[in-house]
Amino acid sequence: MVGKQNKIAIVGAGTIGLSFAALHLTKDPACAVTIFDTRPDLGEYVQQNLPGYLTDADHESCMKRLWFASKLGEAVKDAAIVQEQGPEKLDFKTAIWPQIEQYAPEDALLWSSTSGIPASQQSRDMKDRSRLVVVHPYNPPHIMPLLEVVPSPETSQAVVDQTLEYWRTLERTPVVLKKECTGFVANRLAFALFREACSLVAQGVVNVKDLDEIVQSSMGPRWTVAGPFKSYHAGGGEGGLTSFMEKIGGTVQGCWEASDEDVRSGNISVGEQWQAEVCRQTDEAYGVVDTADRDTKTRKVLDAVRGT
Amino acid sequence: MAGQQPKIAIVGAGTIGLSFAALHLTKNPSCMVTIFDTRPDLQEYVQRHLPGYLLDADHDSCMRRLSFASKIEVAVGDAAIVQEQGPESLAFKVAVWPQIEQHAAEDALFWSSTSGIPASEQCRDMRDKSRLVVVHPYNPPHIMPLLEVVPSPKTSQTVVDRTLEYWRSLGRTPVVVKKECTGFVANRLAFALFREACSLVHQGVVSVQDVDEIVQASMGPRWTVAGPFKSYHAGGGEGGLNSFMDKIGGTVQGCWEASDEDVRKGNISVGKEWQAEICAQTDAAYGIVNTAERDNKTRKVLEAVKAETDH
Repeated sequence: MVGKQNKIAIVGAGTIGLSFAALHLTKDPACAVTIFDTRPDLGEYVQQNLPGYLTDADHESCMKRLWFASKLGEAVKDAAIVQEQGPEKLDFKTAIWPQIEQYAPEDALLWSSTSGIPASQQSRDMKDRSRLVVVHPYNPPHIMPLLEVVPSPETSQAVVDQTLEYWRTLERTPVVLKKECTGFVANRLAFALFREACSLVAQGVVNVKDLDEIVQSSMGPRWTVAGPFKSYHAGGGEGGLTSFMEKIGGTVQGCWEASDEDVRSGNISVGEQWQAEVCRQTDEAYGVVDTADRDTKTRKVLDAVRGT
Repeated sequence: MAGQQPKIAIVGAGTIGLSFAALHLTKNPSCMVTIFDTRPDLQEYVQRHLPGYLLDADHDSCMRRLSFASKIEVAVGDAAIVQEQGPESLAFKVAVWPQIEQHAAEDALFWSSTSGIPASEQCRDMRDKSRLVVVHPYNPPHIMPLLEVVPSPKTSQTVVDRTLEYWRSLGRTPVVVKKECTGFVANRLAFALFREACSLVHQGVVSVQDVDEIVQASMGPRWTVAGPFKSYHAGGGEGGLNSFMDKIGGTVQGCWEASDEDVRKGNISVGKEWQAEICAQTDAAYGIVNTAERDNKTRKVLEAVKAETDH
């Protein structure tokens, strides 16, 4: 697919849409991208904001392959891929897919970037529900390689395979989830750690900055090279994860029980008393984050682990 | 302290002891290290295993500054720092500290590498409880910069300050944990994520290798550069973490509730039914891990983020 003149339709020009547009344009030099959004100043807005996402690329070559559409049908009519990142509302999604289906070519891939509304719900009013799959990025996709590919029970294997092929050609890391579940996987893992982080800060065990420093100097680098299972497996020596669980299992269970107890007694739910203080500490610690600097560092880290 | 000829006594020559010995020898070129352990083949064992930990260093220079002791009083007698990584047993720790205290210099720093037995318990039979502090590494300390410094309520501020100063002068990342708690902080965070990972694999949402791939391609690199609070703060745009919680809080709460439900249903406790299958999957996926390769890559990652920070 990559190498022909792929046309990719980006539906929704928020930060995710711009980031994906940039990703396609920079990593697939043969593709053309059409952006559709209902905002009246679309062209001007994209011209102003997209260059910031075009890292390590010839801006002119990218912008020359970029088009705008004021009507959805116009955007998708000759697209090989339609990628949606509109409002996170079920009504919006169930309404838009039948429209896209009506105007797009029969074999166009249909992808939703949603973080929470599964394809099985979004596809409700489509004629061919086997076409839709969720392709959920880790923000922002032009920097972070992960894409969670989340088929519905109806999604065809061919659609999944073609989706994986596209992203692998662009050297991203697509991972297929075998079941739809709340939050998919990356957010479930990250939010689990985040809750524990909020709990420990709320108890005064560490402050926000110290906790970040702890993660940055331990789990971050460790899990960039080897994920948690591989790491604990290595930690078990010759006996692997089995041995790790035998030797360290008591400690692990003690931590899990302490975590549950602390979350309960701290009432660590969204919107409860702990939240204001933790947000205040974070504001005070960080002010306005320089995301350009963060993204540059992240790219260097990714290059280092890939050995480039 | 670094820069004179400080002597560091390493009590316990397991993997953590060897890793710390290597760390001191390689990062503190003027220090001497004495290793004490009760194993009869101590010298031969260390000479065989330590070189593997001496990265980017002149092996000869390191080994020349290394000595061995078969008696603890000999090891600690002239030490500026005594670092303990013996058995994780309260009885052992409670017994060894008074012995060390008896023979060490008055101002020697006393550090325990324990992952679970707080200083407030270890120091029980010491004369001066203010001297002991936990310095908990992230395995292995000669690669991973983090040290969790966990004082007891009795540990003196001077001891904490001197401990921080030492590690900072070696270019490591010591972080003070303000209250003793189960597992301290790093393991609490990592094990929280690990439980969720086990739960999702147990449900068949993803495989063990998929989880690792997901983490390696998202959270790992993200949190190497900016930890979770800074990352979600950035994710909130101009309004910071407040704004993030306003906009995404519903999703977060939904995930937390789903996690609790799934852990409950899957009975994700250590030793339960889920565990054997996940261990089998992991063994099948990874066999024997090449830790030398992993450590090399990790050092490259750490250098990459440090290089950017130094600009």
